[in-house]
Amino acid sequence: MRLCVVGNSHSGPWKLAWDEMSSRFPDVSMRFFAGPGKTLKYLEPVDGVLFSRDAELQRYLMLTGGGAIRPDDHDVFCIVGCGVVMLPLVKLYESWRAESHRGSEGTFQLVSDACFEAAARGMMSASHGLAICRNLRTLTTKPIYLVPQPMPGEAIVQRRAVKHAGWRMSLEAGDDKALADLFARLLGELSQGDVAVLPQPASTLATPLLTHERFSRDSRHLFQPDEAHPGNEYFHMNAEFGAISLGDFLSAAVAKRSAAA
Amino acid sequence: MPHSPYENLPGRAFWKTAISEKTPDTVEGLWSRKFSIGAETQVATAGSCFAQHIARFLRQRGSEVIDVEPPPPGLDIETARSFGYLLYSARYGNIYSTRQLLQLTKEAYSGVPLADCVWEKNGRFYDAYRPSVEPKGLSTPDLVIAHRRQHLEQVRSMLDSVSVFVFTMGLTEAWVSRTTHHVYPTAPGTIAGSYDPNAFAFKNFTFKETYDDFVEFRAILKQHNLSARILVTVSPVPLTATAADKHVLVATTYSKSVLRAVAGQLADEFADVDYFPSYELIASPFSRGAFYEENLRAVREEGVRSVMRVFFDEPPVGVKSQATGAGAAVDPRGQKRVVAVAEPDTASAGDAAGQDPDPRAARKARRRARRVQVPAGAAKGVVSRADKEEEVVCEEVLLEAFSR
Repeated sequence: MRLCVVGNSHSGPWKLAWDEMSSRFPDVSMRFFAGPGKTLKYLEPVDGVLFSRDAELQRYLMLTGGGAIRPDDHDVFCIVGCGVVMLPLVKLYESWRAESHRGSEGTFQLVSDACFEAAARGMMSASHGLAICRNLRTLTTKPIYLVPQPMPGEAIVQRRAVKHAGWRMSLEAGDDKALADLFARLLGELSQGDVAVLPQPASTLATPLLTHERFSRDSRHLFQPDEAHPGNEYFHMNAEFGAISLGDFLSAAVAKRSAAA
Repeated sequence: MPHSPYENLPGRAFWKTAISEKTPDTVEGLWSRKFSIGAETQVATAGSCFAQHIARFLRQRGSEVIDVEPPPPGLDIETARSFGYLLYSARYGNIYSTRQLLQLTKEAYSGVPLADCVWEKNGRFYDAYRPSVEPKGLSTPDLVIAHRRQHLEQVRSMLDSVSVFVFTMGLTEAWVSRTTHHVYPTAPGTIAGSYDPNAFAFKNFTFKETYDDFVEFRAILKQHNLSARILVTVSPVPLTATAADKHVLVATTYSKSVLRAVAGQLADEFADVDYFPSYELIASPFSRGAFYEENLRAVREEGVRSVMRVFFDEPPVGVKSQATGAGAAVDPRGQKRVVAVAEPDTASAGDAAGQDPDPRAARKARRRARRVQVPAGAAKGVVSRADKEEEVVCEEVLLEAFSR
């Protein structure tokens, strides 16, 4: 089975994990097409392949996967991270509260659940991860999986930094589950059933919006695996997390392949 | 010694030269502004739907149109408007009558939502004084009150900081509570609530009531914001329906006549109140009805553009303008002149009590404006995108309900 992983920095733990575990999957090959930050937003369908006219992304694609993404070369696709993330909803929560939210800390405007959901939908639909899925679907009918970026590590709520206050406020108010549920529901809706969304493995979650701290320790840069992220970086996970997350994907992909066979 | 008192009057005083020989695109001298709106003037808008056009054009010209309740990020313009955003300077929906404006102002400064502000429909609860801003309502009456309390805070901050308040008078007809005498923007039962003849009554405001309400509104505004000025317009949009037991054309003429007369009286009486004649441009024989859509009610975009040409003091169509936008105007010699920001002309300086505008008050107002609290994630970019949006939300559907 030829797997194609398209991802931003959050595909880094997958790569580290795959390097360790690939020998256990002799029938599986995995090719990574990675670019940092939002560079993958420049991917577009051109002449039957996913290609970028952006020189910087071209360089990253060449470095990681060998160039353009050709659907014929792969059996299964997985989009990892790429802006499909809880963060915008938490930022929304910081400044707007819906009628069903309980939190009263901070400066915010009150809106209905319908308005909050509409805003969340608008923000999430703008992620380039979903755009990559849509573009890829125009090129192939093969299975496509979408793996959102992980929730931040627990340490994010231990600091009183204003920048990340929404995570702590939602946790303390008990609004975190409602936000997580909304995120999952909208992701399912926006992927239009055409893409299989793989939620973050439950075993990695400390709360609905936080990843167990041990998974965010010693996370590594995408292109400098010898270099760890700084201590105040909450959003990237380590190879141990990558192994669990990648394992989920492999299980799902293999199961689907077996069912199809 | 002239033979007639009309002998030495300017061309604009004569129908033949000022109107018969002109078109709406070439008419001149229609409006002598009392004060200008510069790029830094804090403008706020409210009223009937025509005020939305003014806000849109002001934004296009780079004026600072206050929006104390911007939409959350992620909402497209159409969705934002369906939730009452991007229509006016706060999320109050259409304010059709001066009584409604006065009522809101008093309520804002009291900080306490009116006791009868909750309407119910199908198990959901709505703000009776702006029922359209949450189209699906809220889950409890307490939430409606909490949302309204926050809205009132924002309205108060807007009134405290506004330099020029643009208000478009829309209607004299309204529905009021028989017990509290509070006035509602829509008939009970249209969006929410239910019509009970024992609880609600139809009200057609008179000249005196409309005038008195506005004078009281102005007094409250000036009490909190001495340097504020008011620009009044009258919506040229006829009534969709009347409950006055008269022909709708007769009812429209009454309503607009009262509003126009009140606006004129206010502008004549108060140096800090100006009247902008958008109504005359659109609704008078001058335009030959050409600025109305086929239903003879909705205003066409060309009409709005003609109105705005006059508003921004641009030269007649075909004459090259040197004006660069709001705050800049062209004098008869074609030289660009920079006009003061929201300062009155010498002839009209001072308010009705004979006081000169207090520059300290103006500075204070500007400081207050900067303090207006807007959530950090407010979608400022959405406001600029709204400039491209031509649609005006008139709650047409609601008004249609009157006629059923």
